[in-house]
Order: sequence, then structure tokens, then C-alpha cells
Amino acid sequence: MGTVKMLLVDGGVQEIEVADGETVMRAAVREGVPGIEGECGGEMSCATCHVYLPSPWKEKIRGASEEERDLLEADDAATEDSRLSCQIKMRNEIDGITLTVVNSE
Amino acid sequence: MSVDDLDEKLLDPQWYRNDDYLDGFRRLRDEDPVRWMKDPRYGKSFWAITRYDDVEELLLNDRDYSNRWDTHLPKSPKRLTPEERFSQGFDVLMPFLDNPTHDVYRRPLNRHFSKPAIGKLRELAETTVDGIVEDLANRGQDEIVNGVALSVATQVVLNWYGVPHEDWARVQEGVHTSGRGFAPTTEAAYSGSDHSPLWNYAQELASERMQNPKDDFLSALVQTKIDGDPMSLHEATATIFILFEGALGNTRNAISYGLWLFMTNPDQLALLREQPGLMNGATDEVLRHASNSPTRLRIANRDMDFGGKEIRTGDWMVGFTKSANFDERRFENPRAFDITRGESGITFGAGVHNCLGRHLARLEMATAFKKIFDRFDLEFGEEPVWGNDSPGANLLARMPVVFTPRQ
Repeated sequence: MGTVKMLLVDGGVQEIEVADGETVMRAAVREGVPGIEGECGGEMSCATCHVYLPSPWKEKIRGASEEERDLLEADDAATEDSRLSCQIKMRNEIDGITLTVVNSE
Repeated sequence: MSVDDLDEKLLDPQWYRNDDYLDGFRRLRDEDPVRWMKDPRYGKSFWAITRYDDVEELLLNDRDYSNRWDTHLPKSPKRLTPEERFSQGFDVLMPFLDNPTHDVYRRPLNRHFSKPAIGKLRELAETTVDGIVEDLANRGQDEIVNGVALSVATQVVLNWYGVPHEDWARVQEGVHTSGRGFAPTTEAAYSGSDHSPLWNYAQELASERMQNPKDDFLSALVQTKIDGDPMSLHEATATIFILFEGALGNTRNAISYGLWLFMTNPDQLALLREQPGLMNGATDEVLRHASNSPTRLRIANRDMDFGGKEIRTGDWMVGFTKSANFDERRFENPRAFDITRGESGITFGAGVHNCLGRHLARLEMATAFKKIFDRFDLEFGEEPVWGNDSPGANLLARMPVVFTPRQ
């Protein structure tokens, strides 16, 4: 079990618990984090779970696949730190990270 | 009516012509939610699955329940030969594939149909619908199913794809003739189907765009890499074919049904006009209520326990999406049209096969509803005529409407 700090679009902060191996998107949807819709249920087809994952944590997990990068590209708010949170699985190395929610509902 | 009486009704399109079938679905959900159905006219027995949770489970579990035959209950259970399947692209089309091959074709397409990607089509959708609405204002009346609803469904998509204007009627005809375009009809018998006009046109387009790429979506589409290499002509043809089929008929039916829902629920129309922010939820509620993609077919890959029944390898499992979307266990007072619900239910499916075009469908519907209801008051010109293309739900075949500009 790990903790993730979500920085919200309105400036607030929400801390959520993410089970080992669970995706951040799944936990965020369960805990009602605003701006994480997870509309496709984790199939990597909707791009509604967009977060910024900056260094140094960015380097602690496997990089985005070509498909993930292609999906993020369509979002004008995408930066070098962009990830789809349905592709971020909890492990020890990222316990305690801070993610920024990119889009409002 | 006992559930035994329903064996001969569930696949009878006539049964769906009035609302009695909703009572039948309810009985099935309550008394025998995973029921072995034998309809001698259809010629194949199958499990009828009618509760929301069960239909969702059927679709989410793509390991045990396969798309290998078809994704919808076909008009005839006759096996297609490999030659026939190849000629319609079943070997490379997502609705007929399981993983690992399904994702090979689906994943490269998701980037074009994601929510932000489709969001970029907003201006195109608005300009297109503006033109259609102007035309409506000039005419003052319209048979909306094959009028405004079909126009919106056709024009937004074919504009985006890059199909030449002079070919739009050909695409519409082809979708209709293919028999998989969900064209509601009042005919009693299942219509025939011939995919070749649409397939041939798709092949012409694919070949043309592969040789002479333009700056349009179709050109980007035929350059899609499959396992690292560009699509073949067969793959490009099949993909264009299904992007025509999937888009035109279904969206038309959702738009028509939505207009009818708002016309027969004036309180909901008033609410939407007062609170335009409810539009996204409203379009999803239209989709739930319409359930305009009424059946799902899956084949059991192994002996399973499902819903308390023992399933055999090879058994046909048929999900009835209208029944699922009207399941009291999942939706309170499900027959009510309530735009504050804001969930599309199981209409777009679930899991890996969920509808690729769902964000586009929602954009088209939202744009059409907003512009039509901002501009006009609507009244029935004649009684609407209900029909269906396949069993499972009631859809509009014909609905003449009078459009009066609002003051």
C-alpha cells in the first residue's frame, strides 16, 4: 500500500491510498479525485486520467509507451512530464510521490 | 405472461413495437437472468443475459468470453466460411477479434478518438450543424430520422474523414445496404445484407489515399502502423469500412431517439434549456435510454459458471443492453428520462471493445441538441413510426417534426 499526493486543478491537495500494483487512476477514481475521470476504465483509449509526474519520480518508473505518448499528444496541456495515470502502478519506489492533476472535469 | 412465453418473443422484432417488451425484460431479470433460450425460428440456442452487472461482466471478461464469431447477435446464426469472413475483413476488424490480435488494431487508433482528440473537432461539428440547422429553418419541417439525424451523423464524420462531398450519398447507401448499419425498419423479416458496395468504395478510398495522401484523417488512418509496418490494402479497406458502418447508423439512431425523448419529456427539455451545463449528462442519459446498440454476442471459451448457471465451451452468450440499462438494480426508476443521471450505461459496451467512436458520438449529439433546441420549438407532424433493424430495442424508423423558430 502506498500514498500519492494529488495536486488539484483548483489548488487543493488530496492524498490517496493506492494498493501495490494498483494504478493511480483506479485509486483516484475510487477516492473521487476531481479531474481524473478514467472514462475508458484503464484501456488507454480516452486520455481522461492525465497527470504530471516530474523528476525525480519520473525516472523511477518505466517510461510511456508509444501509444501512451500518442494519446497524450492530443491534449494541448501535455508536457514532458505528462503521463496517463492508468499506466502508473504503485510500487515502493513511488510511494509518497506528488502528481499534478492536469484537467478539470 | 410467463418467462417460458418469452422464448419465442425475444428475437421477434415485432415484440419490440410497444413497451410490453420492457415488462418481459423485467421478468427475465427477476426470474431467470441467465436463461437458456431456444427459438426455433432463429435456429440457434443461446444464453439470454438481462441484468446490468452480468452484461458488464460478460463484456469485461474478454479472456473467457470471445468475440470470435461477431460482437452483436447476427441476423442468421449460419457460420460464415473463412472466405466470406475475409471478404468482409473479419480477420482484421476489432469487433471480431480477441486479444492478443484485437489490441494490435485497436491501440494505434485510440489516439485519433480520445476525448481530447475529438475535442478538437468541436468547431467542425458546430459549423456542420449550423448549416443543417439553417436548412431546417428554411424548410420548417423534416422527417428527422433520415433527415436531420442522418445529416448530422453523416456530415460531421465524412467531413472529418475527408470523404468527397459527391460520394456522401454513396456511403449512406452502402451503410444501409450492408445490413449492419442499424437502419430501423418496420418490416417483419430480417433484411438481407450485402457489404460489397460499401467495401468496394472503402477499397477505392484506401487505395487512393495510400497512393496520394492528403491532409485528412483517412490519409493518416491508412498510414497506421500495425506491428511496426504500414497497413496493407486489406487492413486499410476494412478499417475504413468499419469506420463508416459504426458511425453513421448508430449516431443517427441516438440523435433521433434523443429528439423524441426531449419532445415527450418537456420538463427535461426545459431543464436542459435552463441549465446548459447538463448537456453532457443529458446525451449520456439519451444513450442509456435508447440502448441503440441492443445486443452483444460472446462465445464461451471454456466451461464456466456464470450467473448461477453452468456454461459450456462454445455456448452463445447474448447480452441485451436495453434490459441491462433498465435494470432497477442499477438505475432507480429506469424507464424515466432523467438528464441528471448522466451515465450512458452499457450502450457503448465495456472493456477492450468499448465503442471507439463514443466521444465523437457524444460531440455530435450534444452539438445537434444544443443548436436545435436553442433555435426551435418542436412538434410532431405525424405519429412517430417505430421499428428496428434487429431485436433488442425499439428505435425510430420515421418521425416527421415541425420546427418553429423560438421568439
